[in-house]
Amino acid sequence: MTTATPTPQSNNRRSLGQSQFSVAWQQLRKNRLAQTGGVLLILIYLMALFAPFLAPDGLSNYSTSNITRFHPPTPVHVRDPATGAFTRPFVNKYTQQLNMDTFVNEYKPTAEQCPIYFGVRGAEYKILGFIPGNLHLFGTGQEKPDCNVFLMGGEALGRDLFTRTLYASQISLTIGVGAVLASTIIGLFMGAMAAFFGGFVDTVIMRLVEVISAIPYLFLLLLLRSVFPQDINPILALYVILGILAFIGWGGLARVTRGQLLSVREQDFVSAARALGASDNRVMWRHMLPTMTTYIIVTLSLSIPGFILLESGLSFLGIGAVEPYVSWGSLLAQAQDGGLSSLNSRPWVLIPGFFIVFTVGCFQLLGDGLRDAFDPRKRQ
Amino acid sequence: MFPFLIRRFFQSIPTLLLASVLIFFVISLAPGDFLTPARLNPGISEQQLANLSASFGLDKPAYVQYFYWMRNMIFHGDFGLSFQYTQPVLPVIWPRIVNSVYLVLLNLVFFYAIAIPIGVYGAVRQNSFGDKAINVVLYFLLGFPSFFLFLIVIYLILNIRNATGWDIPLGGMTSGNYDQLSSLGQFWDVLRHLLIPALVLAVTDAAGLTRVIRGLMLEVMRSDYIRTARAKGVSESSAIWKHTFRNAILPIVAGIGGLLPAAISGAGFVEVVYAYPGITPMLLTAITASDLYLIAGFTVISTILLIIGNALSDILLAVVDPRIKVG
Amino acid sequence: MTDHTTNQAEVLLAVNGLKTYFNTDDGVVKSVDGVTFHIKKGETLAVVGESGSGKSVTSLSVMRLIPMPPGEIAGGEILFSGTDGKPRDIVNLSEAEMRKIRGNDIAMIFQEPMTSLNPVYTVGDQIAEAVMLHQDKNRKDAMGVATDMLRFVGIPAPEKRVNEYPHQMSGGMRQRVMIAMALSCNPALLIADEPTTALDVTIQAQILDLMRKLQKDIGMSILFITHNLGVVAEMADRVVVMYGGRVVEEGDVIEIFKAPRHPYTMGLLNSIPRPGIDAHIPGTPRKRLEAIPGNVPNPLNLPPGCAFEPRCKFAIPDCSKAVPELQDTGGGHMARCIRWQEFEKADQEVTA
Repeated sequence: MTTATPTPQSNNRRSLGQSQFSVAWQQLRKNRLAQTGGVLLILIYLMALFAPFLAPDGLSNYSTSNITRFHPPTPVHVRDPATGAFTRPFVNKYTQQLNMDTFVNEYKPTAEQCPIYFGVRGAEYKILGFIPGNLHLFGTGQEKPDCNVFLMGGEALGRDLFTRTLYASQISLTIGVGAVLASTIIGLFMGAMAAFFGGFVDTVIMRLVEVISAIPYLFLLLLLRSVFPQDINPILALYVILGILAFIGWGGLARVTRGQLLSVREQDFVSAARALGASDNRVMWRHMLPTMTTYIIVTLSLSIPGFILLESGLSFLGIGAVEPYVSWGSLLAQAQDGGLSSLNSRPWVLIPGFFIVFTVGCFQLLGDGLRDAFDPRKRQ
Repeated sequence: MFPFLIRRFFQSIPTLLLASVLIFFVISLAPGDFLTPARLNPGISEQQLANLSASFGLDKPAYVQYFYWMRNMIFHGDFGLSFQYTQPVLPVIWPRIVNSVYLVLLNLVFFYAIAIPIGVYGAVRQNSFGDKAINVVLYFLLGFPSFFLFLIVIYLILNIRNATGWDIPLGGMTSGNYDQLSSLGQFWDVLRHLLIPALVLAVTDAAGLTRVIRGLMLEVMRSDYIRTARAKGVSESSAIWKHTFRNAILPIVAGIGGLLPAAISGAGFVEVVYAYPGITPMLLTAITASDLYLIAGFTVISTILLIIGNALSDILLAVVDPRIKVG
Repeated sequence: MTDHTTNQAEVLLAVNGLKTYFNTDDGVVKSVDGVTFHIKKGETLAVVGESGSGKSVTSLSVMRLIPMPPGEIAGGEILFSGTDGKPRDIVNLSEAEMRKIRGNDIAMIFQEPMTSLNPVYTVGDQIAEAVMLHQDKNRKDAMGVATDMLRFVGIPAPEKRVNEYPHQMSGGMRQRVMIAMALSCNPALLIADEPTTALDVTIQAQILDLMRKLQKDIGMSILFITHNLGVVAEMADRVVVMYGGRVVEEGDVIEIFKAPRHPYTMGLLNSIPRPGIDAHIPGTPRKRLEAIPGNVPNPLNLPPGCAFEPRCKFAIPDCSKAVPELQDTGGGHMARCIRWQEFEKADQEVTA
């Protein structure tokens, strides 16, 4: 007679000695879509950082002598039209002429070629505000001033839309994310206050949350914006919008924080910390708030797309980024210039919108990946 | 049902009061008093200014002003004077609110009409090619700001119009010859103008609800009582609609009220692009003109409408879910 | 081997070599791997086993309620003799034909009365739905049947209860409602999947009493799925013991309790107190209850031979060579163990 040996169980090996974060990281590593989203986001942020270098022109440069209003995109050629041989990339020079039948300004390519050089000197800029430079990845150089490369066409004042889209990414990628961070901090703080003090403070904060969610957010935004004068300093206007976005967004997190803290407060490890003489502050910061880390990370990443969309909407309405600053939303506003019925004569002004879609998509993929990675029910 | 309505009404009063305090507080933050922009307007007489100042107690402390404002709104239906239009606020904003409500309601109809069948399909044919393809498309659409998608649609319509000569409306709420149309023709004209913006709005947001419905359906499908129903021998369609969907829809019904603020806001962007005579375009000009009573009036009335909407969705939930006691 | 070939007229349901597999990401789970048993008319057959032994999947396969995909019936036949007495293979029936059988010829009640009723319809509606589906009755008559059924299963004030929602009833009440629903179309076979597990002990006894009484009144067969041997002793005529997706022992309930021929059955019997059989003789030490060591094997990764071998205290090297055959130990008693003869001999020595 042999003694039975229990069958070894293999399924609990993984949970040994691994923190929540390393498990989540492993899960994320398996998620191809989330990874792609993350990598693309890094690229797009690099693009924003080096926008002045990548752009052929300066943000607000335009010619006053040769106004290229809604200049069409200039295709880049690599073959010489005469010989068919490969040559240095070039664009054609365009002339404009008013069509006397339709009274529409028409652009026509001429035979004259504007060669494109890589690493040309051009408009001055400062990367991150302190690294000066005037080198541009590509451009037509300075020898022919009326020769311009418009990869994505020109906008209402004849400025290069590609350049402006790159610059706009700096605003579009920071305001939304900044607003999410700020609203997270406000939400945590308010939720913690409500849970900690209870009573009157709790009632006031929770009522405020309820009221803010009862007013349509767009109207609340407009109402808050109307408090500030229309003609404030453009840089201040950016901060105002960031602050307003943060103000309308903190409610949900505050509610969850409060609920979570109230339930954690009753749990044994908090009582134990209290019994050991930990101060209220310490209990709050070292023992109670850390239980929310996962939730915060997931909500943060999932709420970024919404805020980016909202910022683009406000800029589109003309109350977000204002000249000289541009965001993708405010670039789209020129689609309405001169009436929508002429939109089909300049469809390229819609291109900045696809940058919004792309960025939001990447954030969504990453956010969904993070949510799944932290969700024990979705583990593979 | 009636006591439930009364109770629901009294429950919403504190929220309404607090919302009005918040709105009033925010407006008082603006530099100067309410009449600063009005004094610059030559269309408003000294007499009107004096009347306003008296009836809204503008020479008194802020909290007294609040009570004057509330008193005027509640007892006289007086929301103050619009400085741009030199008219009382209510008659100016009311038609705009009605127009926006049309748009939001039609948008909601499309929203559910799109999301429900797709969500149910996704759950019933889980992980099929159709399910995955629809999910990818909707996920992609989720990244579009509504106004941007709308601009693209307008661009497409422009091209269709040029190619076919069809008269597809591109903006506004009515055609030029609206006044000459019969009442049925007028109805059709407005509907025709509303269709595209309502549809675009519904499509941009549908992904979220579709996913929720799909998830809820899958959850209910796994529940014991669906197995019971199948063990009884019910048909597939009865198992899906009568048993599963009827339960999966409960959280959706509960969420209708919470959806309204976002729906009104979302409609706002499209109203601007479409030059639709709704709330948001007027609100935007009001902001540029610092027409504060007008802004406050819009915000207060839309908040009241939202709270009514919430109460209605609560009542609807009580009707569809027997576990919630009415009365 | 099986009786259905010899006296078919008596057999209501014959399951032959049933294989129900689930295709998961980690591989094929053979939840039911060649299960054979039968139920005669008016008989109660208990299927016993731990959770994960495949007993619930077997019962759901008979109802064709396995979610497909991921599940599939990979082989075998389920012969059911309907009202006409002609055996039909349930595996090959169309979905429409199957729907006519479900709830009408074969009804089922489940383990969780709390969650097994649809919360948004009244219990009357839910019973009447089955009646309207299978009997040509309008809604009013069907509600009348529902009221009668509620009275039949011993629910007080059925005229009032019929219009109540499940959340207004207790667990025991709901299980009575489930039974009323299952019996509303006079099924030939009732499958009861652990119907009393979730209930209080006193309610359990009531429900079991009710089922026995109703079986006598209607004359249906019951396929009783349970892990509770006490319930088996009280309810069953015959017992099928399942382990690792296979039948390991089958036989008359008295035979099984008196002379188990498979170590797993022995283990199960030793793990419960049996006052009648192990009568305590005063002055001798009390016999200890034995637990079966180890856990149910991972269904993805069954041992190559006898599935019970790793936990079996009688295991020999031959046990892990091949899956043992189900062998007739006499009198319709069968066991899937290569050493059953030795157990029989040991038993005889003890009694002799």
